[in-house]
Amino acid sequence: MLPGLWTLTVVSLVNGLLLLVSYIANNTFPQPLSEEEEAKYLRLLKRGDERARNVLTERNLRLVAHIVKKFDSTGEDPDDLISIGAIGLIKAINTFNPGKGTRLATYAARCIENEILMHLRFMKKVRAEVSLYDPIGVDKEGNEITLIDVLGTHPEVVSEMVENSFEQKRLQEKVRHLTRREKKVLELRFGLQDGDRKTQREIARSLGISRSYVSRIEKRAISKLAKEFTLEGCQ
Amino acid sequence: MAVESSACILCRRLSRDDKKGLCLRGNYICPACEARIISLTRNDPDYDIYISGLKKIWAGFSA
Repeated sequence: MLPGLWTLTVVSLVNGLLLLVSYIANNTFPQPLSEEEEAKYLRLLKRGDERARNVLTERNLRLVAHIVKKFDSTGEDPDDLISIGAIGLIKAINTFNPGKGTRLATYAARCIENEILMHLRFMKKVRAEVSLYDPIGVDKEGNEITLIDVLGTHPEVVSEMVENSFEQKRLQEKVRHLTRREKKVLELRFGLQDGDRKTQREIARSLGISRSYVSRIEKRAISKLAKEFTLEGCQ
Repeated sequence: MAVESSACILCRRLSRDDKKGLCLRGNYICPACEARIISLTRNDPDYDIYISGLKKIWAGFSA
């Protein structure tokens, strides 16, 4: 079994490498632009020449293939990585500022690599996730058992707890945008630290301010948080 | 490089003006898809759709 698996791994690695080499060797991707050509097309692009953008993108595809080569050992599909690199390249050409003194290829290489690294990080996170509804086996009668079935608490309660903990984490991240006083009022009012909720009057007494002032702080803090959550939804 | 077809390889919509947008190895990407690519982040649920869409370019077919 193991030697078979080993052979399969080696074969798929070699295939990936061959695919990449063939992209480059068969001139599938055109030669990169010279410094002068690059400057010329960047000038044209600045004037709104759409063709220049095509040339700049196409003639940097070889750069994508070269960068993808560095990620051979990750086991990712080379075609996927080339697509991801191309996304990085398209972003790079649209955000490149020639006034900063860097060559497009240098800037694009960083964007392409960054795009691939973000993908690899994302995949690592996704692979580490386990769904409560993932099948973990079958019972005596052949019915599928999921993880949530064997947990000692009612399934609905478990998923609610998981959801609550995610929501709490999100809330804690947003609370950072509040002032110290707003944070304190919300913590006491909704028991964010210890689960113990206080009335506005109790908070007013402990902070040495009026109840109506506590109410105003609370309203302001909630509206700030609502705005942060809306912004998050737009991203 | 000439555009083989003015139908976008990603969204398949026909473009009235294929002078705008991108053309990679003869495959047209419309301005709307190009703008979407620029704004994509890895957490975006559409990211994988764009990966497989672009893959058609490297695989050498546009069907």
